[in-house]
Amino acid sequence: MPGLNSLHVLVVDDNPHMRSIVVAILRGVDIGIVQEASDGADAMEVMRGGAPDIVIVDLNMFPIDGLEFTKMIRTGVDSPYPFIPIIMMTGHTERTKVTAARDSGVNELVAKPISAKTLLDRIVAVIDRPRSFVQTTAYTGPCRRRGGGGKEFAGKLRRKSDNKAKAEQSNESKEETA
Amino acid sequence: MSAETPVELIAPSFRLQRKMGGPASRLLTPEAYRKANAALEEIIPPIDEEVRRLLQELQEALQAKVPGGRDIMWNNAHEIRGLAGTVSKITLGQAANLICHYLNDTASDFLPDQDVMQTIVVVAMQALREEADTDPMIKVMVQDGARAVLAQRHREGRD
Repeated sequence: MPGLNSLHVLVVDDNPHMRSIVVAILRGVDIGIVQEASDGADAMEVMRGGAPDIVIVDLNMFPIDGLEFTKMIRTGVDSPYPFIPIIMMTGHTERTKVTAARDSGVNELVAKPISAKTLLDRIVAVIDRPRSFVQTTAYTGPCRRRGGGGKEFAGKLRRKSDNKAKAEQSNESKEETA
Repeated sequence: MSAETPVELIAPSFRLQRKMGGPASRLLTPEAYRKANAALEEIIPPIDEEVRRLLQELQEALQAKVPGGRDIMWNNAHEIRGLAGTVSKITLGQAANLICHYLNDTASDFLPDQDVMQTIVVVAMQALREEADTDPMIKVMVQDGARAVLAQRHREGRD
């Protein structure tokens, strides 16, 4: 059976020590091919040489940061794999950074300090729970509505802005009863 | 993408599951996680050296007192925070976090208080020791450092 050794993962980080941590975790679980790149341009070159299955990228890089790199992959005219799953690592967990990462088109975000469990859990997420892919003029990447896949949401309405919808639903059911 | 269809929705791809022959959750067993942690343990020594180098560079930037040094200090502390947490050096991560917290919301030409920064750098150096996380003395030093940062931020009108 093929298993984890059939996977090809590309790790992009300008810090060689952080890269070595990620690579150690991936090789520890017998992932078949683990390639490294020290910046966005280098990563693009590696990707043209062979198709990785997953890209793990750091947010804070120089000269091209992880956000820009993700956008290059998602929307670049010469991008070899625009739909590739991207996991972004970041030490910045402020809401603005998380939103920026999501809006750049990443599939999963992993906060530093990373552990084997947090990283591997994200890998499981991109493989076992892939999301629909959305292409609009303003955004290209995995659907940002988790779980819904862009379909009509059938769960409970918990947001404040959902109050109107709840009221309407309630009115509809009253009418049906009547 | 045409003007008539501004939104394109592409169905999720299960290509990787097919390639692997099944769900990843089935293959990433507790044993796989244990092996990954063991592999992580093996690379700790070179990371210690890197943390020492980053601290050294940070200290040089602190002593040089030149504009732009603040960015080197923040970046190095940020790197140390990430590396320390990953290799479970909790106290070192806390010390690096104090540096980031002190320098947060400051401009590139900010000249930090030498005494406060030096205090935390010394704590970080001490926290590199093997038994640092179980040493109550270092915990006290971290708490002192945290108090010094809060007081200094207050003096500078940033809290």
